[in-house]
Amino acid sequence: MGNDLSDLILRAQRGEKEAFGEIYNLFIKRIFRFVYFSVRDQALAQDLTQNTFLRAWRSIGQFSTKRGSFQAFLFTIARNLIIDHHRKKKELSLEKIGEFQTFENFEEDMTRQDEKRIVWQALAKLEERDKQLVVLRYFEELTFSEIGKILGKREGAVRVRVHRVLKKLKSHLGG
Amino acid sequence: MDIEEKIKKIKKDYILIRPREGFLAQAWFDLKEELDAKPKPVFMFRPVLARGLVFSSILALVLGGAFFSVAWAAQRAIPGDRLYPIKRISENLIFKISGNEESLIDRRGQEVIDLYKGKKDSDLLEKAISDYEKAVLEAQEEVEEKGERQGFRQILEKQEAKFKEIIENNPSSKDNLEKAIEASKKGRVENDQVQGVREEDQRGKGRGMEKEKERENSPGPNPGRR
Repeated sequence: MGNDLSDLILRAQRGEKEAFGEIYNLFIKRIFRFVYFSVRDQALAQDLTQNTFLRAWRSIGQFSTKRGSFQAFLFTIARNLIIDHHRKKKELSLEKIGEFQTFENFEEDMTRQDEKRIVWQALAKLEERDKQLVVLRYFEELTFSEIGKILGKREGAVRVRVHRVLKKLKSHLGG
Repeated sequence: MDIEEKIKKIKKDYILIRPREGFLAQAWFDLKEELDAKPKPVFMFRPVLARGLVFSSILALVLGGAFFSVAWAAQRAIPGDRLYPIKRISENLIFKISGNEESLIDRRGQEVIDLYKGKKDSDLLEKAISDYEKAVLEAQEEVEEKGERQGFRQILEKQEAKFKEIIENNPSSKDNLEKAIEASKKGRVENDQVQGVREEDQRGKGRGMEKEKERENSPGPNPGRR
């Protein structure tokens, strides 16, 4: 996939929309859930996801693997759009984000599974940036280096931060 | 169970987050159309900020304009008038910042004269004379700090002459105006003294330089002891 992706990126950089379409299909679900996890609104998440790819297309010429992976490039754009959105909508409080009420697809399952629900609730108590850290590291399985690129921090600093977040989670879980 | 394992367990739930099928089917076609569109020009200010900026600029202009109009109208006010405090505030802004404190002597002196002509009550007059003395003192301090100021002496002389003229026309005003005349005289004398000291300093420095040169050319202290 690595070589395929590199090839697609090169073609997209040359202006081939179809190649970019393939990249889009590869990443759309991941970007969408990352965005949705932060904004908890289907329509808004769709808009932000589309905007992520639109921006990616416009700046794909400047992308270089020397500066990080392509997925880090996409997640960085998505994260910036989320930050912009939160700035515009200050009323979206962290407590509200922490509740599962707007999780349309799996809310019912969650309430039935107590152990998972407790972990989700502990995760919900974290600050937005820490939640994103957990998502990127454990759900999207990005490397520390990639997360560093997205957050604009050094790899070592990300490791330390993740360690602290895990500690926080543990304490929220009473462990 | 390890915390990382617990997180990995809930990952399955996270993966369940997905866009609606309708969106997935249409999204790429919608995006593809937008890819050719030129990006919207980036405005320096967001609309909300721009509106706020325009509103505050207009407000500042209106308030500033109103203040200047009132301040302009207040320039002829004398102690006891409603606009007099505005005159004093605007003076602080204009004359103190520009360092033209001598003009304040002129203004305070004119107020004393105007009050006499308008036959205002004695309390106001006393206050006006006290303000005049204060203005002379402040200008004098400036002179001490920065040297003789152009017009300082002339202003004091002019005011003194005006006060004397009023006393001639109205001898009953003598007691009060004597204080103002005294303040003017004192200011002039101090100014002259400051000037004298400065001139002496200049001459002294000249002599000091000659002495320094002599010392440089001499073989050193107590040459006879070598």
